[in-house]
Amino acid sequence: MTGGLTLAVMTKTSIILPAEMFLQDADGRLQALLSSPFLQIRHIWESYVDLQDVNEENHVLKAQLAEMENEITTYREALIENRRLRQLLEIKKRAPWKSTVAHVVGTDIAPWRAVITIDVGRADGITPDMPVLCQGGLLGRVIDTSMHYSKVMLVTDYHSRIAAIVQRNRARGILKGDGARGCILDYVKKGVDVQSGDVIITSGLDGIFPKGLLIGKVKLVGRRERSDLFQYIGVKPTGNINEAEEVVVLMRPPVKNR
Amino acid sequence: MMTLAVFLLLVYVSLLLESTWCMPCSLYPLHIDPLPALICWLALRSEPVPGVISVIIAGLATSLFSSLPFYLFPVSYLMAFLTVYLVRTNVLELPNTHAYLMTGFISVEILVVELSGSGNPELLWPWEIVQAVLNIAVSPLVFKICDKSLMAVTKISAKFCHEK
Repeated sequence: MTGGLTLAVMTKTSIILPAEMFLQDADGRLQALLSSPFLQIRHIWESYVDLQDVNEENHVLKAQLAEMENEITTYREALIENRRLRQLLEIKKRAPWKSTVAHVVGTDIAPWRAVITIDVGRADGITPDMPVLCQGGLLGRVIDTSMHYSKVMLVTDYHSRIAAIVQRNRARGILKGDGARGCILDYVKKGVDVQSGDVIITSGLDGIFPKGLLIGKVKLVGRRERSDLFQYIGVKPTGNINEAEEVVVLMRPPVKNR
Repeated sequence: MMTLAVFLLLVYVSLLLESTWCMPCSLYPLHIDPLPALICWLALRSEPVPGVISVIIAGLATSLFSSLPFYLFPVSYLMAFLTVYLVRTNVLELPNTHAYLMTGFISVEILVVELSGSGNPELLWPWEIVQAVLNIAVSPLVFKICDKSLMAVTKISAKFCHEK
């Protein structure tokens, strides 16, 4: 009782106050020192727990991202297909004859032959020598048909020959396939003005292709030996020859209607 | 009989793959062609008459996937088969490495017939040599696939016969 009274009296005095403050500070420091490892451990634990959550979230987000990417690819593919089909529709509208759209399903087993297989055949009214177009211009002509499939020889095939003219000055020639290099416009006399960038179109003289179909552009006009009568004219087809996925086959009208 | 069945099945599968999936990955005019290796494998393992009939059937099947004259593939495959068969009958044991080299030789043989016959002999040099080297590189894998397939088919048929 007496001790308690004394302490109460002492706390009020100015002598005891600094000592109390010192002790409190000391206690506080000690507490801080002791609690810091626990706080650290707690912090690490919480971080670990958070990390676990983040990890799970990361997995979920990754899965969502993959799904979204897949969806975007699908939409993009649909957009590209839409663009391609619109272009084909334009070709169909402008085509001089009735036409049908086909898909490219295969290529020739002999890699030096530029021949593709399309999914329309006799059942769809396809016959040999029908012209085939793709985005950008002429692709080739049908050379063989079965009931539901046809083989198309591309303009770049070594065996392809097309009667062609230079659009600017109407100079005539025969367009020959030259494999991966594109085509060559042959039998154009020396002295005829042909320049790089000139547009080459079908002349219609071969009786296979209608007149005026875009084939390609002149990429190179070279010199041959002096004894040669004709120029060397390299032509790059404007059609997407190697990337064609859908093509348009021009259905030749019966002879009496031509 | 199993060897012939495996050969014809693998020829057909490789034709389908070559004419569709290999479209974008061919380095014109080079391409991965397992057919010479398949013919070499058959010639090393089959009897002459069934082997000849099989390669002719394989050649006719190949011509369906090509615009080349239909007789070129059977002729070229037959020549290749007979070449390997001739070597096989005159050499006691043909190590695997020599078999792979034989694939290269018959690749050249096949390409000479096909390119000349299709009117493109100007493509023979140097492309056929590079193609032959590529075919040699592919042949170990083709041989392995053929052997594994033959083993699997034999096992399945043995099991089937046993159950019967």
